[in-house]
Amino acid sequence: MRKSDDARRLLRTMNDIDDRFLTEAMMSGKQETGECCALPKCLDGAVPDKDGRGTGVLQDCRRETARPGSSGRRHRYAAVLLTSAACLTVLITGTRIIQVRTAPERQETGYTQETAVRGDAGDISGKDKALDFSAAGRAVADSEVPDSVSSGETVPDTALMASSSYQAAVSAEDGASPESGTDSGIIGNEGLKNTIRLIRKAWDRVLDILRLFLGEIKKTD
Amino acid sequence: MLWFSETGMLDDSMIIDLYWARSENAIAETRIKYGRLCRAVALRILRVAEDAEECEADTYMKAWNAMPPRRPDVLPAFLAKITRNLSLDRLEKEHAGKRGGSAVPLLLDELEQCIPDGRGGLEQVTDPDLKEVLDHFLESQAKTARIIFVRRYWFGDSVKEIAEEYGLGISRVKMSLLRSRNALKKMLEAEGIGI
Repeated sequence: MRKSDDARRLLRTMNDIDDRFLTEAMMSGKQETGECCALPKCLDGAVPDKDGRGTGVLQDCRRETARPGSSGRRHRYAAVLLTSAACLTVLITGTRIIQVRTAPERQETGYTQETAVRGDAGDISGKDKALDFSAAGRAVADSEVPDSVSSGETVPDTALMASSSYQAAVSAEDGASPESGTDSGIIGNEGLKNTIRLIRKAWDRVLDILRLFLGEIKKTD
Repeated sequence: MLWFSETGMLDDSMIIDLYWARSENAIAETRIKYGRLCRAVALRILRVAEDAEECEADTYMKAWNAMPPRRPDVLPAFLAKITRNLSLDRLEKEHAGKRGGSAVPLLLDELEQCIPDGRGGLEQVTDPDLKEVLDHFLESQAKTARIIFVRRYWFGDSVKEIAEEYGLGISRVKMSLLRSRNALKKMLEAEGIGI
């Protein structure tokens, strides 16, 4: 005979225990009020449905729906972790969207989605301009190069990089107009720092939530 | 002449007399006084209100058939035992192999810890002997531990409910149950059961 069958038999035989033990258990607890304490609390307001789920306060009937043993605990922990992960994702995404939309640089430059769309067309023309190696194009570029360069002197690379046409070309390569250079900053290092900061904040919140959940679980256990 | 208690309900002995007199009022009075108790015991096991109500009705019928010749010493205990037996029968019949929402599978999981590890299990022992061991075990327990044990494994109360009812910590109730289970296992082993 398996242990489960033995346990079933033990539960059955327990039915025949001496009446005084039953009376003692029935009349204990709320003896002063005369109320029979064998009546479960969750029966007053929350009658479980056919599947055994409490229809009232879930906490009162949680035991009835919980899986037995450590399996039930694992399920509850897994549920808490999954919920936390979902909250974290929503939090990060939401905060990131809000942060990007309300970035002060964008407000100052009047950046909107419309200008961004218009900027695409400008970028293409800018790129074309940067790649214009025709005589006219070269003349425009040469006019912006310091005199020392045209006279054959050695010019540090930084000077060349500082020239407006070089910046324009780089900006065009990046897909953003020189005027909206701050946008590339948001997506670049500054944006990365902001994102990391947001993730840290969000993680702190998630930890707070987890602490709350774990505290609740300890209490209910 | 009927005798009423302070609560306006009939005394237990009067209700039993009604059963013996084959008066139909016996069932009505039983329902008034112990209907809620029977429903609660059944609902703990079955978790379905309709099934619990049917079990309650069956309990009155069984009590009607049992008295006479029986004259129970403690009427609520007698009725609760009938209800529990009927509910367990019904649960086994309707939910065989299913866990459902009943408290019974949880109780069985816990009671398995009381079974000695030997080959025989409880096969060698008869029901009256097992009942005697259980009575002896409950007798040997301290009052609080005994009440907690009965509330958990007879009535099917949750640990939380027991803790709230008696103003104890949940961990204390769990510890008390663990010790009681271990004590029962030792007692079964000492009786040579399952070894």
